[in-house]
Amino acid sequence: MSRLLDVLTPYVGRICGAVALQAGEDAAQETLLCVFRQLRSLRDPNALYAWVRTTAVREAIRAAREAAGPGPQRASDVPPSPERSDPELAGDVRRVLERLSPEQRAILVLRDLHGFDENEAARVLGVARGTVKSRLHRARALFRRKWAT
Amino acid sequence: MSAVMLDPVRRMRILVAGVPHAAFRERVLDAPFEDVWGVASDLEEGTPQWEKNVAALTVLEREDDRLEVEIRSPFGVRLRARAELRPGWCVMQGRLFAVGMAAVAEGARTRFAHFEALRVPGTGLLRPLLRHRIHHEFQALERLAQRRRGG
Repeated sequence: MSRLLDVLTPYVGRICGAVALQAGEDAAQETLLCVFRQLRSLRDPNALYAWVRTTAVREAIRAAREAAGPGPQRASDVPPSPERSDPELAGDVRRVLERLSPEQRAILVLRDLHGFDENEAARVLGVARGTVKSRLHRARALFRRKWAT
Repeated sequence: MSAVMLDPVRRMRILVAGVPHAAFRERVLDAPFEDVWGVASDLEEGTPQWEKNVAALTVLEREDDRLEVEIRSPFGVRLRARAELRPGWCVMQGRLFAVGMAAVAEGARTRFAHFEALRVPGTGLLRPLLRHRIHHEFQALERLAQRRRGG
């Protein structure tokens, strides 16, 4: 069980860090709590990663929404990444990402980071394929626009 | 985009969620991490002084963070367990039990988490008793850590 935690934590941490930003730790903890509570009910071990990934994305979106509250997030709320070899670039990417909604960050992470196709991304996010398409289009356009400014 | 890391206490909360009938508590101890973990991670000398279930503990084998230990209970029963010991993190699992402890610094104090679970059917009823005992174990550990600092 402890080894499983060692394996899953970085995986969940990457998804939650990218989508939930400063709420990433809470999102990762909630994701893994949910997974470990229900681990015994998992019938097919091959489905573990898909299940963990779906839970992580949903928890990350929820945590990011809660952390954001009613107003927009401020760049100063976001701590710099300790793991980047290029902290300036990482900080720039992070500042652009935090101006996107959690849903837009999630679709970018799934499609552009994890290489999911539209159907897979739709399944993880629990939305229609058309929604994935339009959300991704808007997210990419917004990212480019914010990056340029 | 960076990955987030979870500290040992957060990780312990998660691990406990997957252990049936685990008695779990966490508390902030009034002693620095170095002293608390100095006592807690000293399995042979430290553990019998604050863990009520352990009269003696012997490390039989050690390879990196993996240990094979033998525990003698206060009733004289000897039990073997596999242990994993890292800074701020220790989990021991035997055929009949699992225990774990985790610690993280909180300023000059230490957040400490501890669980105990019996892998015997029906022992879930003992959970309140175990939790009560953990409360006293925390007090003993805190005293030992403070004494360590005092020399």
